[in-house]
Amino acid sequence: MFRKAENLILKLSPPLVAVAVLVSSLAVFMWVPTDKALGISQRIFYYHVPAASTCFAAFIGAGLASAIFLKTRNEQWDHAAHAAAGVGMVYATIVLITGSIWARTAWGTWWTWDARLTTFLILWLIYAVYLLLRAFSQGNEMGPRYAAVLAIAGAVNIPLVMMATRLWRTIHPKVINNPQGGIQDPRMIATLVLSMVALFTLFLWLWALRMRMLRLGDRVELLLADHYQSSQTFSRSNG
Amino acid sequence: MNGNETTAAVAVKACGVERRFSHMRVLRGLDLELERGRTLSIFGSNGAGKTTFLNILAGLLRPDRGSVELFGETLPGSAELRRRIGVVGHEAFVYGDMSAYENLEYYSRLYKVEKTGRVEAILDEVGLRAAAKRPARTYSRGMLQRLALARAVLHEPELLLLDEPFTGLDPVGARLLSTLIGGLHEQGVTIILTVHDFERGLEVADDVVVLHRGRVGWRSAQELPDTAQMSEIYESTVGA
Amino acid sequence: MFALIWKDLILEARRRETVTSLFILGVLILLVFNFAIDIQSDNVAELAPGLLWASIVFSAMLGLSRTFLVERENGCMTALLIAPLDRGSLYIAKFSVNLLLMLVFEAMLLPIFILFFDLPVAGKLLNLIVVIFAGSIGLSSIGTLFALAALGTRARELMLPLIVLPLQVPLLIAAVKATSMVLDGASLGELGIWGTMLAAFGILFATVGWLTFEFISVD
Repeated sequence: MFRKAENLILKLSPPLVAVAVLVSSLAVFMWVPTDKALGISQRIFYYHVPAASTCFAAFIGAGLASAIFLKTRNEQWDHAAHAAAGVGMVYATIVLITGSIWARTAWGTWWTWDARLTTFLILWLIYAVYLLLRAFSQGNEMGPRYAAVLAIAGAVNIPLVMMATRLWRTIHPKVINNPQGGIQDPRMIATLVLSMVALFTLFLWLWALRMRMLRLGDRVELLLADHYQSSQTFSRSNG
Repeated sequence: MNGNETTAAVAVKACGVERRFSHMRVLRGLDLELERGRTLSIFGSNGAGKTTFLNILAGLLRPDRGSVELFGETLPGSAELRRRIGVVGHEAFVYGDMSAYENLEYYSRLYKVEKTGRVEAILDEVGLRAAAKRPARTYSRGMLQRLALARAVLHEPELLLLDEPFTGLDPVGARLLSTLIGGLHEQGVTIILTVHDFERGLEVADDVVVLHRGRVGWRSAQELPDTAQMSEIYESTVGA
Repeated sequence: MFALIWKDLILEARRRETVTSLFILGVLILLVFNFAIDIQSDNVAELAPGLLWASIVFSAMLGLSRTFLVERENGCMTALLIAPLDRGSLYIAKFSVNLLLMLVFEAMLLPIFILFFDLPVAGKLLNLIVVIFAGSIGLSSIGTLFALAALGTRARELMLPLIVLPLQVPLLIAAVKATSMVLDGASLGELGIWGTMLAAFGILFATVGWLTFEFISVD
């Protein structure tokens, strides 16, 4: 099932991503009108917001895949979670960087302890530790399990982090549901949707690539171990 | 004898057990059957899969493939099944800051041993009564090993697993351990132990297997070989 | 399960390592903060709750990582896993021990804290204790779950704070807010969302721990 999904994504996504990224970039830079209040800098929002939503989806997906992995012990699910968290981290980094750039022009500072920026910093840290945990438990049979529990805890924690930081303080613009400012121009909405599609298909592509990498890496390790084991008179494991 | 009785008489039944550690295949299709009340010695070089197999029987590891039945129940078994197993590992599983008595008392509560005086009785059996009040960290290797055995049989298990119990014991300690194992055998306990020393292993066993590369390389027939024969068999199996 | 809790408490009572070192570390952290941020009588009310929780959180990391170290001695962890005890109970037992030790440590730290910063706590003490208790449940539930995982990695004890600190941010925010409200004289009912969050965090992560502990303890 995983091989099929992976192959399908790997076959379809390169042209899809190319078109989507091209069209959405054209829309963002040439077509969509400049926001009256925020000016040109508001265009970064078409990367910032889709990256953020994709990132949430990735982290929640990693949590779900981890739960299934624990239940089924099928390591394909572990690879799925690992890949989703890894690519999700790239997206979280994009969110933090674009947010920071935008904060500089809008609020005059690179960083503020605004609720959503803080949320993403925390998420970024949780999943950075997730990847670190995987690195530190390499060679340990239980490593993937530990990481899976962390991914589940991280996903469960997302709403709490969002709620806590929001109540704590916020100066982040509420763009989508805000009846006053916000985006109303249909071209803005269209551009946002386009960017969403572009960044999400890009995510899928990267995810499938990473999945394949993890699987092939596993296979290489296995072949190597077999090779060593059979070329030795006495084997050296702890059994 | 009907089918049911056959199953009931079998203590351990392992079919095609495979297990790898990260990328090392340690067990590669191990098949083994052992009747109740028998004592089995497992020989094998380091890395042959002896400890891994015992850990699977103890419920500490799950096989990647294949299945293991203990007393007709497939692993991973219930807590009730785990209560019927006793394990002596490389380490003693006791807390150094508690006395032998306290350690056993703790384990008897963990295993819900209800018999009164069981702890005292077992301390007598392994000859640790006099030292029972001393913290376990002051014990010698031999005493620790006896305490470990006491801990493992405290709840009167039906299956006892011993992983290299003779390692690090002096001849006197080893003889005492052989006697204790013999006594448990008399009581009808099924015993599986891994051993490096052929003489020790043959002395206590009814059955002998040699593990090689994660499979049963050789199994004894009705008659057990003597030490010299065993050493020949071992070498031809392992191919060293 | 109670046998396990009792055994851990006996060992701790004999060694007194965890609680003592926790306490000293807690006082040291208060001291460090006192110099790091100049605390005066006019800002102490604002800063005190944060200081208290920073001290608790960092000390707790030390204590939590010791949970399973006890079981490493002579391979006792193996014995626990072989014993007829389900993994959920094992988690609950370890969680309770951690919570109890943390409460002892906090009972020692709190008077020092009140004394150092000359906090007026008359009439608010009980509410303060309830808030600290609720926060400790959250901290030990999450810490117990990952203490075992952290020990299984190459980084050992270093890994635990890395895992726990970012995860417990919502708890920390809620605990600090609730503490400062209580010190301002709010009743427990007035804590609103912060009180709910404190309780929810503890319950949520204790449940996650209870459900997932099985998967990280046995292979």
